[in-house]
Amino acid sequence: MFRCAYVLDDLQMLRATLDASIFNRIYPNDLVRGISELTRASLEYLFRNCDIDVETPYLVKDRIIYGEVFSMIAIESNWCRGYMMLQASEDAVLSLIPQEAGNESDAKNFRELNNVLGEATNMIWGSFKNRYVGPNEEMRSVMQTQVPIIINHHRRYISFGSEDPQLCFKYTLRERSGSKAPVPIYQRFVFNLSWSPEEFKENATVESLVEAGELDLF
Amino acid sequence: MAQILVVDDSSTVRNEVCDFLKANGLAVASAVDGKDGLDKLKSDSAIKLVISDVNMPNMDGLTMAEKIRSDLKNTTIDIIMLTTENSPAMKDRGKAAGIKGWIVKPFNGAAVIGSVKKLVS
Repeated sequence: MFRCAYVLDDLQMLRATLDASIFNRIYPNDLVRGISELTRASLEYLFRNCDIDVETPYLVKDRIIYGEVFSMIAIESNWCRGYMMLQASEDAVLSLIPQEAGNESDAKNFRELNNVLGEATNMIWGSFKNRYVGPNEEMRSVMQTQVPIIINHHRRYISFGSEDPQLCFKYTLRERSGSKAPVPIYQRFVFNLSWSPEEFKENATVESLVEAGELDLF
Repeated sequence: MAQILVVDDSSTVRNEVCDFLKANGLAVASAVDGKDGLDKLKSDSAIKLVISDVNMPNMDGLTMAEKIRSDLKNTTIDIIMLTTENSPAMKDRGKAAGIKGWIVKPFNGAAVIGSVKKLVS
């Protein structure tokens, strides 16, 4: 399907169409693929009776919060600074918790939901650091600026003060028994404080480290 | 009288590790952060091994390990960190506190149970 026509003397239309149509001129493909891999592994660990579907990542410039509950953690390295969020519908995730993270007698507790979402966030950020933040990061070169984050609960609105597009992923938890409705979890990255993709690299030493879950005796 | 103290602010991880160790015949106690962990150690002298998270509120796991050596003056108890952290700097701090080992989450009980049983035997 044709999206636009342009002439060499006037490339403005082409530029605007490329900006609107090409998914990723900002986020390195290795980073996007890696994030979905490590997030999927964390969700599979926490929701063991579920299959995790990962949809094609996408970019947004909106500031809309999905669902009723979300977690947010600061991301700090010498090539990026910002936040990661996990957003979900409270009732949907709660419906999966009795089988996955608690016992039947103490089920459907919002504290359990906070705990599971918090642990997922912690595991994803830990994996991100191990994979993409080098052990000898020179953080002194990073100016530790901060900007206000605006949250409007009534409007489900959150602003990080940046117009940069947010990198988004959608994971769907499907309980294998089929007795529960699929549960979507939205993941967003906003590197509003610092973004230097030319310095992005995956740690070469990760593969030689002790496998996750194994004991590294000193 | 527990053999192992599991310290983690996440009830999900804490319950999973405790349930796995109990299913393997070990006596387990738990604590929700480093401060709680120190209190539990003071009240139960039978504990031989601490399995602890690093990032926790009130008191982190590495500070707890250092205080086990300095404040409780316990140099014999074994300590293993179970954490998402994997930085050499943190491991070096752990080694300086006499930590025995390091496990990167997610917890894989089958991979570590043999070593854990040796440490508490």
